[in-house]
This record gives sequence, structure tokens and C-alpha cells, in this order.
Amino acid sequence: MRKKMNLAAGKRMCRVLAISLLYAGALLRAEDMTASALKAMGAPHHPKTEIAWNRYYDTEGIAGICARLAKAHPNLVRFGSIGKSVQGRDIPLLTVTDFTTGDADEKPAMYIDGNIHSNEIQGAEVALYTAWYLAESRGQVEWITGLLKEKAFYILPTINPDARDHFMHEPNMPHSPRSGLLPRDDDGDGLMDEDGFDDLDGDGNIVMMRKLNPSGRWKDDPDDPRLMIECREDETGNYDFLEWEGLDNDGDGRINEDGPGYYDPNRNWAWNWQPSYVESGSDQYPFSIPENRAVADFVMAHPNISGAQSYHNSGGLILRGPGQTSDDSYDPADVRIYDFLGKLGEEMLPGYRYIVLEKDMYPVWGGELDWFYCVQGVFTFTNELWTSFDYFRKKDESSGWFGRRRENYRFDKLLLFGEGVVPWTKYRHPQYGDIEIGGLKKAWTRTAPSFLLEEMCHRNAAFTLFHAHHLPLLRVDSASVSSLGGNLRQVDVIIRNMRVLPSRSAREINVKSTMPDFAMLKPVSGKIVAGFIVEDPYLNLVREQKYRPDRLAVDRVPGMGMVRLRWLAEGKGPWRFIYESKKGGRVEKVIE
Amino acid sequence: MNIPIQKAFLSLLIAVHGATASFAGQTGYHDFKGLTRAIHSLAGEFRELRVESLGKSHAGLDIWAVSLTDGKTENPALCIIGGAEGSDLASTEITLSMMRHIAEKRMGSDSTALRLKQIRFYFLPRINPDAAESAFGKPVRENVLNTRPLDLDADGVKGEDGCDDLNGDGLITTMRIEDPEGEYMQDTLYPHLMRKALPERGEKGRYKMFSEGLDNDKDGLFNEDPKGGVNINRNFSFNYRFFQAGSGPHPVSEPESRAVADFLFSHPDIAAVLSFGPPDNLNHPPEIKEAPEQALKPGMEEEPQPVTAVLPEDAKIIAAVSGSFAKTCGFRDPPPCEKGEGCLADWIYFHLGRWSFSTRPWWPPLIRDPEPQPPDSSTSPGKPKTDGPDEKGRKEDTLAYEKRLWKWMEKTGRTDQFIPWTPVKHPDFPDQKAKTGGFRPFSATCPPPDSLEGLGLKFAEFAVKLASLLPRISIRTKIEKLQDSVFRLTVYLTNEGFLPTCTALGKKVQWNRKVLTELKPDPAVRIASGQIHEQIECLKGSGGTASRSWILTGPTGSRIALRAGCPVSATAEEIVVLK
Repeated sequence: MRKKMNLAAGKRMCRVLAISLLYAGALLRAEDMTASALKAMGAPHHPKTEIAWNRYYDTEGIAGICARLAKAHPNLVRFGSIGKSVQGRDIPLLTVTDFTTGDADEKPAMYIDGNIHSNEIQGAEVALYTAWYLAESRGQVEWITGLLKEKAFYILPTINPDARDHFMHEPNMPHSPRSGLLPRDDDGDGLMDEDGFDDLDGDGNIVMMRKLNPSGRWKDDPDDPRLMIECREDETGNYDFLEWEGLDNDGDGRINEDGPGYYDPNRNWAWNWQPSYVESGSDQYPFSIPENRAVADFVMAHPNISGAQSYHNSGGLILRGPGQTSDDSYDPADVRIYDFLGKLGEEMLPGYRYIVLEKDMYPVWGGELDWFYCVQGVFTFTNELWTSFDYFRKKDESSGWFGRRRENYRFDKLLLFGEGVVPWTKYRHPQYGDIEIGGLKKAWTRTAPSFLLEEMCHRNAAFTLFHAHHLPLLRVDSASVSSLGGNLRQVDVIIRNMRVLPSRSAREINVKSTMPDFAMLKPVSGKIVAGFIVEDPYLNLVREQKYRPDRLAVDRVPGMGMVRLRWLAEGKGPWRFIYESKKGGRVEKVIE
Repeated sequence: MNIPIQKAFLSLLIAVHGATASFAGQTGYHDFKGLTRAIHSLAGEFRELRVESLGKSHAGLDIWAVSLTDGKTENPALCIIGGAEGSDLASTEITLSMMRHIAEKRMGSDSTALRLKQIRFYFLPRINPDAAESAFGKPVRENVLNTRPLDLDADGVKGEDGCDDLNGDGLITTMRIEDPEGEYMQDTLYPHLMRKALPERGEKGRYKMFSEGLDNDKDGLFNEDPKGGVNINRNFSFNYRFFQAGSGPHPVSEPESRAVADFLFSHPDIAAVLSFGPPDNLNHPPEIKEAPEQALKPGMEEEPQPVTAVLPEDAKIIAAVSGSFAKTCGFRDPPPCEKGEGCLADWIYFHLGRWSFSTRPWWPPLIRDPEPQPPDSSTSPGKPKTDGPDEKGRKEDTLAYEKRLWKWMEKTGRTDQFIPWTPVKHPDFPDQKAKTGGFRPFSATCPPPDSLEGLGLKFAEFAVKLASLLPRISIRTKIEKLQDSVFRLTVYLTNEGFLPTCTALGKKVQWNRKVLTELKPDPAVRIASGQIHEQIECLKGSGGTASRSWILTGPTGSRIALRAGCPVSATAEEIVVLK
């Protein structure tokens, strides 16, 4: 068993190595090419790692890219793992920051993940692109250089690696597996995953099955016979739609009712979690799914995470919580910040709408974004990548998340030349008899075609970079000392936040879910007699902290705002002033 | 084995291994080492007991599970869980004692023994071993938290301000500080008991009350950040409360709660769980509240909502079991029921979807007072104000409970269990009068050790009763010949047990397996209607029936093997012949 595993791991290593060598060759050619090219705005000009952003990578491909990035940029990118998936794959983590200016864990950090739903694959590419763009642009784009000094990024391209590979390498349709691969008994017969789809024609795609029937209610579309349309009330059709491609494997009279998984990893988070009779797919208890638990443990161990982004597909949406209208956890002060960022996103991502999950889409119990905000206090967006707006760049808000079916086929005909559709083919089915198999391929309708993928990556990455930019940035604005006679002095310090996000969200303050910030004044000699938070310096409204006056607990420094602190101290100083905020970082100043 | 010999054997073991430890001068309760030895020695004695560790606590102590089975795989099971509430030492002892009594009863040849042999038992005597160890350390302290390091006062330091034994008596009790800002006063009738002053009656408080300790981190709060942790009985997902001291970072966050949840999920044979804690449906069965029918517009799908009250069908069954509990055990005057938050017993019913029965293991008997009392003083909430987690694990009506306890102690000569208020020098209150005192740790929740054996016997009797109520499916078949080679086979399933195969709520829960009827016909037989597997959601108790029928074609004399059952009931098998 062990030997076999080692062998498999060895094979994987060889493949990664082979991929790396392949790319090393490509790199040389790329340099030749950039030498004789005009730099297009946007792309890093002489990237140390040349990566094609017009395809989707499996977990080995992702690991290969991560390893190359880390190797090429040792001071900017570190490659690790937050834990193992159900089947023992690593859940990859890229930590990106300018390590020469401080440890990632001590800077305000942006968390980015992709692919929690295994069939919603392109989040991984957007996340990888973000890491690549940051690393390759440092030193070339001043704004990025500054951002990497101030902030850190924890990037998890796929948090469902098993089922990502399943989607890519096993027969699937655009909507499967969605789940992870922890075996579950979906049909209550005591067996697990025994009746999933079957790739009857062996082409790697699960498509629809139809059967000729003179009283069927479906017929061929006269404009594109690959497409089925429903008959009008007074019309006769000729087909029945059956199930998705599959057999009754367990002989219970049902088809495809117990496939790989099944649960919904995005209904398994601890805030507002409900059992599966309320929220289908929530699984046994919060974080019963190992991949989710690894993410939650990672996030709880990194209280410096103050912004978060998760990527799904599709529909062109920038979502925020709450997932339930009954949930009043979203504080109005925080909602204003969400709105500021969300509207920025709408501008940067044409065809995307910034909406509230429950109100504008559907109710969700136990969603990832609610746990991030309601428990961790982290401002979190979920983007539904890929929008039918990109088919023909026409505004059509009623076209649904995956676009109108006619458009799916029209785009395929005009721009993919038929590549996205399996034409109807005859098949002899053990249960249904003579049928036909055909329809949309798994890599079409929810995932962008190659030539639109790079644009999607860049625009979404840019949105998260602005989010990261607006994570708190604390500075000592001023510090002054005045004598109060005798040996007593008054020390006044103003600490400012240069960015839009507060050093703690209103949510955290409301529920006391996290530590307050601490403002400390450390004397060289003499004691700190009293400490105050100054609420109004002109009316002398101050709030004394009776215990530990040398270590004032501060709720937060508001976005673009300031906090005034005051101490009465013995002696002449100097004093060391330290402001410590888990989410806002640490600043120090010696006050003379 | 006859009981006296076995007892002698046990006491020999105890003598040799020192298997019981003592706290507060009481022997008879087991610390972790003692518990481990006691479990293994029982398993050595009864070969059908199998010990397994479900995992380790934060402190690395095993969560033991013991199964009692003859190894046949298809018996319904009853699970007994002790020590969910960390300071509840009594239920661990009771579970141990039940283990022995049931294993013994099973060895006989009477009808009870025969019935017990058809049931599988699981015993989890202590699921929060970290917390229980606080009873055996120095100082002795009532603690409900495991040892997960947490920063409960959010000051950046973990576990820096727990209780301290100020007077060096080896016990953590309470302290009262004379302070004009204090909200507490001495009770009028029992001046050694403290209660909140009632300003509406013109009373003024004179004392501040805390658990015994120092303000170690000098933040103005006392004992608010002990070493630990999470209360496992607040860590399950039903009615879970975030951001409370003791509830943990999220539901089922702890190795202990996770081990228990995973154990129960992976044992679909467990039909019912008997557990211990203040949430108590055996003495206080849930209200039977018929939910109003909600009319849905045609074509509209109902948006499912969380279920927060026991469904009426289930409440009726629980009430009947509660009646049976009262009859079997005869416990009287139970204290009021506390509503659980994230507790095990509620989780088993609401989220796991199985039958869940729960009671406190013990309470001080009520001594009825001849003289009348001022009505308010005995019911006013008098919970001592501590700024940290409620380490006493007691909630509402503390004063009423303390009065009951005190009167029982007076009557039974145990007044030494109350440590009189004694002055103590308290560095945080240099200019104020400070005193420590109060009930000894565990004296309010743990019965005198000599009563444990009797309690164990009573609970074992109840467990035997409960086992007899588990679902039992029987089948009856009928063959009708429709034509030469065409037959209709009808299978009637009946639940001979009292409990339905599934709670009404459990029908909704995807983890409960349905009643499955399987057909294995001879190859020459064709099934013209029906499937080879047919599922039935639930069979009601007390003779609840359901039937399924198939049209079969095949030669006369063909045989069909039939199996029907579900994990919470033994499988019934039959071979029918087409004729």
C-alpha cells in the first residue's frame, strides 16, 4: 500500500518536473519574443514564469505553476499546503508579499480561494493569475510594489482538489460533481456512490439522453437542430427528454441518484449552519468536510486576514451576505464599505452585478461568505465568474446564470465552430432501448472559452487588488508631549488609518468575536499614571481605562479615520509607542 | 457470575490499582486512570464487552466507548453516554455500573437475558475527560471546560486568569467582598446563602460575589480566562451559541464532540441514546404542540425552515417513555429543566434524528418545609456573579436549588459540605472585607458515593426497559396466483416494538436509513412490477405496518429470498415459493 503510494507520488513528481522543463524551454522562446515586441499594457513584460492563461489546469498543473512561481520569486512567493483533501491531495497555498519588508502573518492580509464547487473551475486560474501578476509586476508597476510592501495575500487556487480533478479527468457535465469526494449514501440504501453518471459513448462528457416518441413534448429547433425546444401547446413533438447520460447501476428503478459525494461544500460552514433537511447538502455538521475544516483552521490561525474573496461560476455576480433575510448580522457601517467595494467591482467588471445573496439571488444556510464575515469579521465577496453578457456583449439581465440556451448554441456555432456541443448520436440503452445522446460539453456554458479567460482573470484579480489596497494601513499621525508640572507629562498620540477598511469591522466589535486593538505606551523609566481614549479633544471628552493604563484596548481605527490617545506619565521619556491590531498591522514610534 | 464475588474482585482491583481517586474527601469516583482501569477490568470479566478509543481529548485522554454485543451485525442498539457535562462525575459512575449490571443480566437464561442478547449496547462513560480531571487535581474545582487553550477574555494571552485557592484548603469555592456597589445580600432565612438584593422590596446589596481567585492579569475581572476551553455540552450544532465563553469557536469544533458525532453518524444501528445532563426530557417531557397546518399555494414549494420544537408525534412517544422512566426509577421532585444550548441530548434528536432521552443523574431530594416561606426569596435568580464562564455549571434558580441542597444536607448530617464564610486576605481588595466559603465543589451535583451503586442499578433497570421498546420488524408474506405463471407477492412488515423505526423528525434526516425490503428471486423469475429494492420511510411503533407487492412471472415452485429490515431493527428473512 505504502509502496504503491510512493510510486504514485514519484510519478506525479516526474510529471511536475517534466512540465517545469517544458516551461523552461518555453521561457527562453518567450524572452526572445518579448525582446522584439511592444509591451501591451497590463501584461508583465519579461515574466520570469511564462504561463498560458488560456486553459484550465488540474491539481498537478496548479502545483507545477505554484512551484515555479515560488522558485522564480523566493522573496515574493511561498508555496505550501493547508492540509490534505479526502483523497490525500494537498490543498495548495501561495503566500504572496514582499517578504523583505516583513512576515506575511504580520501584515493585513487578503484571502483568496477558488473552486469550492468542483465544477466551478476557473476560480483557480483567476487566483493563480493574481499571484503571478503580483509577483511579475513587482518592480515594474509602482502601485503593485507598494501594495506588496503593505499587504499579504493568502491564495488557495483550489480548496476542492479531488473533485476538480474528477471534473477534468472523469466524465462529467457542466454542473457536476459540485460536491467533494467524501463518499456519502444519497439514496438511503446503505451503499455509497454506487449509481452515478455513466459515460455511455466514452467521450468524457455527460450529456442528455433523448428518445423518439410520437407524443413527446420536445422537438428539434428549426434554426439549430442540435438544440431541443419545447413544443407549443397545440403542436406535436417527437422526443422525450430522459435523464442525463447514465444507467440504473444499482437496480432500484432510478438513474444517477447516488453519484460521487454528494454534499455542497458551500453549505457546510459554521455560521447559520442547518441540517440537510433545511439546507440540502449541508452534510453532517459544520466543517465535517475535511477540506473546509482545513480552510477554517487556517483562517482562524491567521487573524491578520481582513479581506476575503471566493470564486465561483457563473452569472457575473459580486455577492455579499447575508444568506438569510432573518440574519441581521451585517452592520450598516460595514455594509457601507461593502457597497463602496462592490460598486467599484461593478465598474471594473462589465456585465457583473453587485448583489446581496439572499435578497437578490436565493437563501443559503451555512455559506462560506457568511462565516467569514459573521464570525471572523472579514469583508468577503463571492464572485460568480463568467457571464452571458460576454457572449455578444449585450445587456440582458433576464438571461439567467448560464445564458439562454439558444445563445449557448449560437455562440458555439459562430465562435467555437461547433466544438462545444456533442451532436445527437444513436445509442442502445439497457433500460431505455434505442435512444440518442447529445448536448453541451462539460467545459462549455459555465467556463469561459480560451480567448476570454485571460481577460476574466485580469479584471477579477484587479478587483481583489483594490480590495487588498483598501485593507487597513495604520500610521502614527502625530505624537506630542506636554508638561503638566512636576514630574508629570501628558503624551498625546494620534493614530490614523490611510485606507477604507477599518482595523476591526463593526461586526467584530458588536459580538466581541476578536481581540480589540491595543495601544501601548512603554516608558523607559517612571510609570504610566493614567490612560485615556480621547473622544473629543475640544470638549475634553475622554474615556479612562482604569486597569492596565499602559495598554489601552481600542475598538478600532475607522476607515480613513483616526483615534486619539492620551496618557499621563511620570518622567521625561522617551516612551515607546506601539499600536497592535490583528487586522491592521503593527506600528511603533519612539516618542521623545 | 454472582454479584458478591464480583464485587470482591472489583474491590481487590481497586485496592491493587488504586482505581478510584478521591476529591473533597470523597472516594468512589474515578479519575481518568481509574476509569480506564475500571473499564478494562470489566471488559476482562465479560468477554462480550469490547473497548475502543474514539479519539483523544485536548489533553490526550481517551474517549472510551465500550460495546456489548455477541458480534452479530444486525442487532438494534442502545447507546448510553455519560459525562457530557464536564463536572458531572456521577453519570460516568452510573454508566460504568449500568455496563456491569447489563452485562450480567445478559448472561442469564431468563426472558430478560434472551431479550438483551438481541440488543447491542454502546457505553461512552465520559466524553469530556479533561474537565472531569479537575475534580482530582489540586485544588479541586468544578470545571466544565476541556483543556483547549483559549483566550476567553480576548486580551491576547491564553488562560492567564483562572481560579486560585486563596485560603489553601485545596478547594475552589466562592468569595464575597463587602462593597457598597455589590448587588448581593445574605438570604433572610438562611443567612449563609447569598442572593441578589431586590430593590423593589427596599433591599440593598452589600457584597460582590466571585468564584475564588485573584485578578491574575490585573484587568479588573476575576477568573475570566481559565486554562481552557470548551464545554462539550455546549459545542453541538443544535441551538448553538457563538461567542459565548465555553461554546468554542464553532459547533463540533472539539476532538471530543467530533469523536462522539462521528461515532453516532457511523452507527446507524443506534436507535436511541440515553444521556445525562441538565436538559432533561425524562422528567420534563416536551410539550405536545400541534403545529398549525400551513396552506401552500398549488405548485409552490415550501421553503424548509429549522425545526426548533419536538414534533408532536415524537413528543407523545417521549412522554410515554418518560412515564416508564418514572415508574422504573421512582425518582421524585426533579429540579426544573434547563434549556440546552448546543447540548448533546438536543443535537441527537434535532440534527442526528434519533430517539434521545436525557436526565440529570441525581439531585438532592426535596425536604418539604413545614413552616411557610417568603414567596419571592426562594425563586429569585441568585446566580453568583462571576465574570468568567459559569464554572459551576448551574444556572437558573440557583438559590432555590441551594436551599433544597442545604435542607437535605441538614437532614442527612452533611452540613460539613458547606464551608463557612471565613475571612481571607485578598491582595486585590486590600481595604475591603473578603471572605471565602460556600458549598464544597461537586457537593451539589454529585451524590454521596455510597448511593452510586443504587442509582446504577435503577438506571440499568431503565435501560433494560428501554431496550425492550426498540423497534422490531417482523414480516408476513402472501402469494396469490393470478394465472399459471403469474403471481402477486405481498410482503407485510410490522414493527412489534414500541418505538417507531424513526422519529417523525428523523424521516427528514438523510442519515437515517429507511426500512428496506430486498427480493432475490430465482433466475427464471421476472419482476413485472416493483423493484428488487423497495424502501419504506418509517414503521410506526406498537404494530405499525406497511406492505409492498410485486407481480412476478415464473414457473411454479420458484423460490424468492426475502430480506426486510433497517439498522435500528433486526433483519427479518424468509424464503417464499411461488405456488
